[in-house]
Amino acid sequence: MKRWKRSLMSLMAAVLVFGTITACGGGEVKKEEGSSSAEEKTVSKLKLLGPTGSNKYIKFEEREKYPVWTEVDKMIQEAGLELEYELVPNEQYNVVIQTRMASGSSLPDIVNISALDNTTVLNLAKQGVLLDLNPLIEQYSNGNIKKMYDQEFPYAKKTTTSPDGKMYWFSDLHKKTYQDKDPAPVALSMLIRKDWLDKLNLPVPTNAQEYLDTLKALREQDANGNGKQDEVLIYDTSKFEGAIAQWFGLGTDITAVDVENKTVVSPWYQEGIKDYFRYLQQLVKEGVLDTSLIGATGEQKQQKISENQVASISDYNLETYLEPTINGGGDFLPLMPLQAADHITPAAQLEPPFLVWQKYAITKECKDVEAAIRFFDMIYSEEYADLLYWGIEGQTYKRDENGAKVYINNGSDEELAKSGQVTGRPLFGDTVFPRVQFANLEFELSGVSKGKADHELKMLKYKPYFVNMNANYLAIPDDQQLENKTKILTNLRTYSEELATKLALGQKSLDDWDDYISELKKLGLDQLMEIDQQLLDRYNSIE
Amino acid sequence: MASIRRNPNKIREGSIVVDIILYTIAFIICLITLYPFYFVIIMSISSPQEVAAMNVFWYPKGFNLGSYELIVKDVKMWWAYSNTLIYVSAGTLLNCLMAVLGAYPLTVRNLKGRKWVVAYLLIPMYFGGGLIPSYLLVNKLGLYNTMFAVIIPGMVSIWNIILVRTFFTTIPDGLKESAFIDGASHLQLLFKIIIPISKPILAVIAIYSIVGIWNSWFDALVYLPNEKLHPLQMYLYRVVVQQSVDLKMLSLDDAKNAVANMLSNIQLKYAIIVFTTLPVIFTYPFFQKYFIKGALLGSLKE
Repeated sequence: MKRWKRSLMSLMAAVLVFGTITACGGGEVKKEEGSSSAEEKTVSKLKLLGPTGSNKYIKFEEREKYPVWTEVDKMIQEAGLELEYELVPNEQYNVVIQTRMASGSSLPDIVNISALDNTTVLNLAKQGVLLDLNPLIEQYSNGNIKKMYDQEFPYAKKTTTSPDGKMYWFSDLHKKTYQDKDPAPVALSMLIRKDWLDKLNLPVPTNAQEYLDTLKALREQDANGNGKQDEVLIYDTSKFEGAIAQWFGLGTDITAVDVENKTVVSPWYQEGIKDYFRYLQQLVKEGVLDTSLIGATGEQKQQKISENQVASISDYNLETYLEPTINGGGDFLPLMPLQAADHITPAAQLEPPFLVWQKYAITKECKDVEAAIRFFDMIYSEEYADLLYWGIEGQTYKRDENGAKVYINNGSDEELAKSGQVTGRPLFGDTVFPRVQFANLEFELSGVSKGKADHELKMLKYKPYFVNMNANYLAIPDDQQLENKTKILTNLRTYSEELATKLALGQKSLDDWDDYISELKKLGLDQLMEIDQQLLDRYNSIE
Repeated sequence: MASIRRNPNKIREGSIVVDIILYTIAFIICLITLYPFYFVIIMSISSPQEVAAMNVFWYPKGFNLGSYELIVKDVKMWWAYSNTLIYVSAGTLLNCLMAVLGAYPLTVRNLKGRKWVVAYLLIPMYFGGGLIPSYLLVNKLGLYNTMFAVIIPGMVSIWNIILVRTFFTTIPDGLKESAFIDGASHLQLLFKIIIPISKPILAVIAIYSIVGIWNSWFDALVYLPNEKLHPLQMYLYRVVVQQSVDLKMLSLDDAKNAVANMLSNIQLKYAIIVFTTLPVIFTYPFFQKYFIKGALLGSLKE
């Protein structure tokens, strides 16, 4: 009898557990209703799928409490849309979107597919999962999309038009201007600890030799005062994207775009390459370049910075995020491109003032494509762009004496979440809502030290320059080009990175130069440059 | 009779030098095993600046429970905690039940084709369908984005069935026959006689699945886009992943936000690790003996 009772009990326990699961599982499917306007006569429903934002305090699910959302919500209602959001935690989104798109089932109307690479997206387009946007824009748009894409961001079409001439996704659009007209690129420079220079009465270096001597002096004179000679330069010798390579006139990657001359170059073929490696060898020999951090992660570099041991590192000239992380504080000053080799004008490394990134597509499941286009017409309006990037005048931004918009500093994210005075970007940008940003340099300059601001103003018109995002100047490759590129790059990149590091460390000799070049050629460097040149030409030819 | 005669077989005791060497070795091994735990704990309670600089090695520097405060105040963490409890309890129960129900028929002597079934079971042990087919299956069954998506596919473990089957075959046939002579059915035999004497193997399976489910996160990553259904390990995964952003890939604006995020998360992840592993660590001593048994069970067959 007892036995029976016991098994009965355990069975009941199992049933109970099952019951709990059903109760939780069934009811909690995350689908939130967006706006609901009954008075509109034609309300179109759209389902959108995207990642949540990454901000810990300002969350999309609490959007109702933010004034900026009220404004956007009005716009959605005016457009006659009722939006149903499915937002997936952004750390998980890559996996979710990959499996979901690959299986082609339970698709929304509009989807954020930024996590998928171009090949996957073009394959999906071929299978008919994603719609070609051009005819839809022609047929349904009220003109907003065209205005943004053709007039405000003339580069957008170039990077989002597929080889077959079709367009499968909308993008985030960003431009930064100065005095309302000039495009304003920001620079990536070598930064040096200005407070250490001042402390030791050292001048700011004006050429590469002085730079080396200064780093040596900072080390020898124990600039951080901890009794050890541990002041270092963080520089990744395997790549060409640290600003030192550009001092020798080198491109920023194995193949790099020379925007002004409309050509693709490779640092391996450029004049300053040998001098560059000789210089790196010196930096290594003098012990100023920390070789243990070659190829290190952001976190590892961050630790060094926090430990107050980094004398110089390559980063944005207008960065303000490194200094607060230094234990004991500090001040980084960006250096102008330094003269490093005879006959070579040092180049700058710039972030393009126009950026196009992220992908938002309309799927085959979308029954009401007209409504989907209406959604994007709303996104690509100046009103939305303003709400997204600047927020509400008087609350999140104001105008300075020259009429340029500047943010009103309302405190940390945590405080902003409490006061509700946020712009649209942390609240809904990059979720299912693309970012359209009209940034200006005026605000950037208002928040940095004079040294940084002066540097940036000098860099505005600086030539020659290379860009940090070469892909922004290349058209989307077709299948054949992409296949070849991928095939070549797998081995070429490894070889190039190893070679560059070994040359910098002096483990390989510059005397065998011709051997290295012939090996690079064998791995397809010339072919790669040719493909990239074709892509650049096509980019320049797209109107 | 107290004899003073020496026993030549007695292990010699009292050699201090050997003792010291043995203790040192034991101590070093303990240190190597325990240090990672200890490291995580001291990182989680040191001051954030020291943690960011990776200055903490032997003892906590500064004292700060801010990370724990953040976690304890986070509603999502408690959601995740309760979800994990549901997944673990339901998963473990079902795992045991399925293992028993799957194993018993395979021990019945006159069941035809028994050997074939066992051989057939081995196939999916070695070959799986892969992610996309599994995803399609889960989706078509309507399990996607429900708690069942992580419970039901993991319900049947062939490895467990084989373990249990091997154990069942060690039960003497006389026991079963006498039950049948007394008029018991198969179900009665299984539930009234076999299961009560199979507690050791059930305990082993239970522990394996408790630890397994407690530490699993991948199914949740794929099948549960709704964060309210996430288990604890998924919560940890999200904190750790969020941190590893390649700053070089970001524009100036985005780099600012990413750095702020990265810094606030460096310590948080240690606190969460402590929080997520403690329950399992505490249950370990109680189940330890079964673990050892489990390693031996099924290794011998009559």
